[in-house]
Amino acid sequence: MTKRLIIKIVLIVEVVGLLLSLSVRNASAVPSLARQTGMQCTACHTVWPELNSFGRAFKLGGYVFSRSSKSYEFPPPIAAGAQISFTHIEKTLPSDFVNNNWATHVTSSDNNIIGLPQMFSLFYGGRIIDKIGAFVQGTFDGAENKFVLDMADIRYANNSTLAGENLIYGFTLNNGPTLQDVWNSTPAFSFPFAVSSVAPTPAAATIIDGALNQQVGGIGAYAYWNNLIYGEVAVYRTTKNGITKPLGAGTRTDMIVDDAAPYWRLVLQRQWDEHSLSVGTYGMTARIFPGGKSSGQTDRFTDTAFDAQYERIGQKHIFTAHTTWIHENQDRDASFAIGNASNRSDSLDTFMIHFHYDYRGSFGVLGGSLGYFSTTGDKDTLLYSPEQVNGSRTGRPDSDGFILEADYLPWEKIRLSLQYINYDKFNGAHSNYDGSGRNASDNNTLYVLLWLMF
Amino acid sequence: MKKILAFVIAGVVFGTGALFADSSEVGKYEQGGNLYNNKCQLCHGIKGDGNGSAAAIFSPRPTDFTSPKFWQNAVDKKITDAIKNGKKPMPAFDLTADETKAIIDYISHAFKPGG
Repeated sequence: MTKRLIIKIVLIVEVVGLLLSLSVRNASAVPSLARQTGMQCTACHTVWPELNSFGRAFKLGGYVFSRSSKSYEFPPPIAAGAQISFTHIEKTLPSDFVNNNWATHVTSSDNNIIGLPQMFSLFYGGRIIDKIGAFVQGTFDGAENKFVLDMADIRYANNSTLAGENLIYGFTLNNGPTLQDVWNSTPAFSFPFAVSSVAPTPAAATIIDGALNQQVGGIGAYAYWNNLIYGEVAVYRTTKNGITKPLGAGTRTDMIVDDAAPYWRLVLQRQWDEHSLSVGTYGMTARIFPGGKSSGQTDRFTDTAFDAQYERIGQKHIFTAHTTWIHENQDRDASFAIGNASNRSDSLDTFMIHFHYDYRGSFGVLGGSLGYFSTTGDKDTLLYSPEQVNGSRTGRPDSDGFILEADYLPWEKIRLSLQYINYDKFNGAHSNYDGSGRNASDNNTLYVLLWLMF
Repeated sequence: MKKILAFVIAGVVFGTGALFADSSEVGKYEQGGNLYNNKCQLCHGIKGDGNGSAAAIFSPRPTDFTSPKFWQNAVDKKITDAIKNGKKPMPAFDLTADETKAIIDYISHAFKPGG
């Protein structure tokens, strides 16, 4: 560890200490949503960023619920967040695998990486004016060493009645399918809520599972009736050009969607006493140019997914469970024609299940999570080809493993996490998966995170 | 003739006054309804029964305005205090006295049993 790094750590610890002392002592130094509502973080979250029923209603209501009757409030709802992390990967990575820069420090062993910061974000979170509100996050990504528009969800929402029961309806402008969703069983806000940005991750993922974030911008209309039924339709287009371009600010658009990509969501929810249970379905279809091209033939992806969520929120004990299964049909005529895929059609299935428990005591919140993930799909030796660390010797996308996480929140705005990801299979095999002698377990990752909001 | 004219003028004056009074009442009721929908309905529900979209997680549960028990004593003070100072888990709201009065009137008209 260099002297400069030690000095930097000391300085950051001092700054963090100052911010913490401000956030604990000064009621005005709280995240913008809590400031606007006059409520604690636990009003909207089980443990942030996981939402409870109030948080879901608040988000669907357009982020505008406020303790004030003014249609515009000053100062604007600005907040900030930072992640400082330590990553240990079981086996040394190639020396050029991680971009060693001022924010990402790789030790001499090449498998211990400090993110200082892993990320720093500025948020606009809350009411813009009257019934229009937003949750917009601009992030400095330490691993990439650049600033990007991370998440954007701008809403108009209103209330009415239908058949004598409450109806929340609205419109959302956002930059990633499922980003606008209020259940934590869909990809954008599902477990794990934070992971190492430098550890190897499986190569295959469905397009609805994050691949299109910032690559598309879209508008959706939604309605939530009687706390029972939620429905939404949306349509997305590329952020490469046109009216949606600002929604991809800072991110290179390398998955260019042709024309419009429709998205849909339907949820049935039941709430009783401390319990909440929901089952739902979501999906989208998109035509995407292969290899970063912006014209010519396209591949067609169709994702169909099912999800479920259970919450039991007591005064001291909180238990939640989430699961989702996504099936993706891939018509790869365009990729096949240019030699990027060995099949004209492939399929991919991903499954995730997560159990979470928290105890709220006088010392803060202490909790833990156990998650299981699995990806399976068709063999395609061109799509999944051998390459050191990221490739596949077998031509298969299959990966699976467990995630174990412990969390401690000494105060509402500080989250400490200890996470371990254990891979049983990685990019198609248990051992020598990349054809260069690397085993799935070599990517097992220990991740320590300090996450601050202020 | 003078008596008839005076009667007509009196009728117009009082009638217009009554009309303004009515529209003013309607305006306040609408204001109260809008404030209730924006500030209270999320937890207390569209029917005022304490069963709003966000109610499930709170303990104690949001007040049920349709319960006769709630209307037994000092209702105006109870609501005013809750709005002004908060009543955990409900936050304090930054509303004017007129706005608070409009909400109380709306709750009384819309949810009070037999109201």
